[in-house]
Amino acid sequence: MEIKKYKKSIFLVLGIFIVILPIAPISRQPLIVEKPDLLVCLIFSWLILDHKNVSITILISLSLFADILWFRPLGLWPIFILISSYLIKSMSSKISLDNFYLKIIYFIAFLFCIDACIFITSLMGLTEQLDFNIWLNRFILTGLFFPIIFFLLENLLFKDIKK
Amino acid sequence: MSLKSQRDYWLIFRYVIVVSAFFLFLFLFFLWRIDNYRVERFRLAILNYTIPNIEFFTSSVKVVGRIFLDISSFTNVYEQNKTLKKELQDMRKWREAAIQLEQKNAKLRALNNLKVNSILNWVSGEVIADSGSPYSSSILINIGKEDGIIDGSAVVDGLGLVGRISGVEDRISRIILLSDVKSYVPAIIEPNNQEAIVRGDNSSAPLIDFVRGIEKVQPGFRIYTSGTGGVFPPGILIGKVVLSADKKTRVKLSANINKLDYLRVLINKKQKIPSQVGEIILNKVN
Repeated sequence: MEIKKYKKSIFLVLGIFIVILPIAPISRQPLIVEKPDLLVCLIFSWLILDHKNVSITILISLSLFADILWFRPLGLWPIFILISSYLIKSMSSKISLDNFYLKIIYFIAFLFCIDACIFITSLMGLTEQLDFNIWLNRFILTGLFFPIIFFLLENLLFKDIKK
Repeated sequence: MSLKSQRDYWLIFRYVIVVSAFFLFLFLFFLWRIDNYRVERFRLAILNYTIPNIEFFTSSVKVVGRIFLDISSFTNVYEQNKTLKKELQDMRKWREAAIQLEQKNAKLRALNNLKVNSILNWVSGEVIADSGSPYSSSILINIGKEDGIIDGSAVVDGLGLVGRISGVEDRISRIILLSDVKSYVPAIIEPNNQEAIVRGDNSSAPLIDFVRGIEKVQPGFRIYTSGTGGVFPPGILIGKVVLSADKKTRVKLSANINKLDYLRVLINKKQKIPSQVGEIILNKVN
């Protein structure tokens, strides 16, 4: 079976799994240590690894699904994902991202921009108030989890691109 | 048509789609902002169908997660055992005192021919989903309109107040926890009967605000719902006063908010939830 053909379906299933995972009522403890945003890690990993064949419809649908399930402001994340996707797509054709560390820096820069915009909308009163410590916690944890997700995707799903 | 022009058309079409999608999401976001109540109801209606269908998955994740939590708690099992034995000893004394007080209370009620208020009813439900983002401190339970749940009802666990219902669908209800930034509960601090507001700030110990004579409030004082505004019934235990590291007066919640499984929704049949902004104030003025 050629995994390449089913990449989009696998990605969609993986995305749905990641969206559903944090809503399992295990403990309310993450008020102190936030959960990382694995969906953003997954979306950006795909964008960076395979920007030519990435399906933006799937990325947007997953973001919207997460908005609904996670009680996030509806439509805000899909806007940022849409803009970032097109920016990455256009930038990737100009900048070559061969270095692993460069890819991480690239992701962190995008994540910071998105998170900063989200925090500013919250400060402006357009969304619910976001606690700075929780925001920072989530940003750092997401940044730390990205290399793991990226490494797993690169070696399990995008082996052909790596070659 | 040449291949190049075909590709150009396709590119233009794609850009039109992307720009339309951008404006569609922007419209959705502003609609959510402006008509939050209706959009939130729409969200709950979607969740009403989604959550019960994915419960098999969330419950298995919950079981695995709880196993890991239990394993980690084994590391301090000796300490826990020692504390529990001491607590049990204390509880035995309190049990005796409670039985005596209960008997005394029953006698006094009989003497006064007191009729206990039977308006308050309760329905129990299980927690089925958590909010996955830092935006809200809320949970979903598996009871809704079909079980007689009313929007705004108080929710308690076995020990104290947990939050209130904010959004009801046929089979699910959303609970805004006391730790949520949108949670404001009118409270009374005993024994001085000082009125206050318990305000959530995304921490596990909500803040105590708007207290007259805050200097009289001591750590260890108990906080109950005051019933002001008519949303929460009076006399439900919220927790104890504590002083946090940042020198703020907070509530150590009685409810075990970190591990919520089964909850009780208190249904007040005569409860009148304000449907418009400022309705409570207007009613008081009139």
